[in-house]
Amino acid sequence: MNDQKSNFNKISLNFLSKSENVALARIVVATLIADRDISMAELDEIKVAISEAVSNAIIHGYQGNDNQMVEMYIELTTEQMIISIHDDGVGIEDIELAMRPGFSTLGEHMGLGFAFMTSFMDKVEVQSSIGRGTTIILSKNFSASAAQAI
Amino acid sequence: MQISFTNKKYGNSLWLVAKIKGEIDMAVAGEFRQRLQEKMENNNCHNLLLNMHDVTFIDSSGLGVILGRYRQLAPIGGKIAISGVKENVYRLLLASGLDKIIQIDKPESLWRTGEVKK
Repeated sequence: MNDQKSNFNKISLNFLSKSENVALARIVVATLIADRDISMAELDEIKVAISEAVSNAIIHGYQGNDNQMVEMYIELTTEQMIISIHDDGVGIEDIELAMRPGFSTLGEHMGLGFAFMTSFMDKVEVQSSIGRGTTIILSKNFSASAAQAI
Repeated sequence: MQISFTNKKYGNSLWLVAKIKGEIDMAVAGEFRQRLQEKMENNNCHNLLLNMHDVTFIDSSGLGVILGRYRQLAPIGGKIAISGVKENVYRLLLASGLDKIIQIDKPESLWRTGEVKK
């Protein structure tokens, strides 16, 4: 049961912008890819990337308001996983600046969210418009990661 | 996340030891910060050892709290150290650069296998 057809999957998950749902989001993703050809270390790193993207939607997009919806969409094939995380929040004014390591608009935050997403995923794409929200698209290539492990 | 506290004397210095259990993300970062701060103030303790043996997950929200405590302790001559981390947590501490300012014990599992991939 390892042919391409059986490995194809799509999941859509909408949840309130409550901080406890950050764990739910990363656990759903980790469960979905647990049987894929990736190391434990990579699985842990993917969980961090998901955690950062969802935290970003809640803390920055919705400014901590826990009564809004975060939309997560996952598409899985044999070769890769694409996860899109969307909020209808305030949007990011300067995406390039927001993605710079060490940049944070908040006091005790490290400004490492996007740095972790970029390091741990194969591709990170950010679409945002002021007042309309942000979509973060994270891609992980399973075959590339398996090749790197060798 | 659960935290339990003990006081220990290493040489001449008194350390507050915080044993943390569970996952540290934005859902518990506020409580994590508050409990460490309260205990440090009540004990008037300037040295903090975080025993993270039972921490299974941490992200930048949790690392931010640790950096915050470093910033709080460093100006008053206090120290902060981390012990017992699992490999996944250790790798993230290295990726964050916190190892450059905070003493972090290398996980036992890496003593034999050599350096962890940065």
